[in-house]
Amino acid sequence: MYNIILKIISVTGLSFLAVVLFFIGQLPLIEGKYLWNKYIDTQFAKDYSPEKFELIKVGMELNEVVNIIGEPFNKYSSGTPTLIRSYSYTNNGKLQNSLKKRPKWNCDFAWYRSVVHINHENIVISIDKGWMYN
Amino acid sequence: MKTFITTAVLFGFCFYVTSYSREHLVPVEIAALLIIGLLSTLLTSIWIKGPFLYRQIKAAKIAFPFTAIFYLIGYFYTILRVVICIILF
Repeated sequence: MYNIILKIISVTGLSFLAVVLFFIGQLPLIEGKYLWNKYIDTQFAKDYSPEKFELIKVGMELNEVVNIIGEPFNKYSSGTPTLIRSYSYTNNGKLQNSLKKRPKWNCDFAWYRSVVHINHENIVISIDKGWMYN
Repeated sequence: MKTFITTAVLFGFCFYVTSYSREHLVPVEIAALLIIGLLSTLLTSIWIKGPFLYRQIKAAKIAFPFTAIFYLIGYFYTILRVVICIILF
């Protein structure tokens, strides 16, 4: 009798742990990088590519930047007295936007941020890039 | 020895996919895998006859690879779900 109870506990416990492991295995991909294509959820501006973005350096002029990676997705001003403008070349949600019908399950992955900050003299003063897990 | 190598390879692969997708989750995931592996070892040892230490070693040889396998099934389930999502929608 004691052995049977132990075996029932064992089967129940192992089944529970298998389910827990199955869900833990899904955790890294919730807003994480997709294994086969890390840019699966990153929308690129027309002439942008991550390789070309690496060519952008602090001190470059705006027209040089536009010649290399084209026009950005969004331009926004910080509203500070130095008139810093930000040129954003990537956006979140490529995968979900490409699907005609929104699936019931999560299709949201990490996206790559690429922003260039430009001052009032049209000079690149900083480059902001990196993975966004949101 | 074969089981040990298989387990090491499977855990290495778990470590790789986790660090690729979300590097800051690696310590949590590896700790969770080890704790669940130890719990599974205890639960599996009930089915094995013999002295305590022998039962635990034999159970660990079964429980740890399966811990990594179920974790990877969960990971690749999400990967495949996206592929299906792209094909269907």
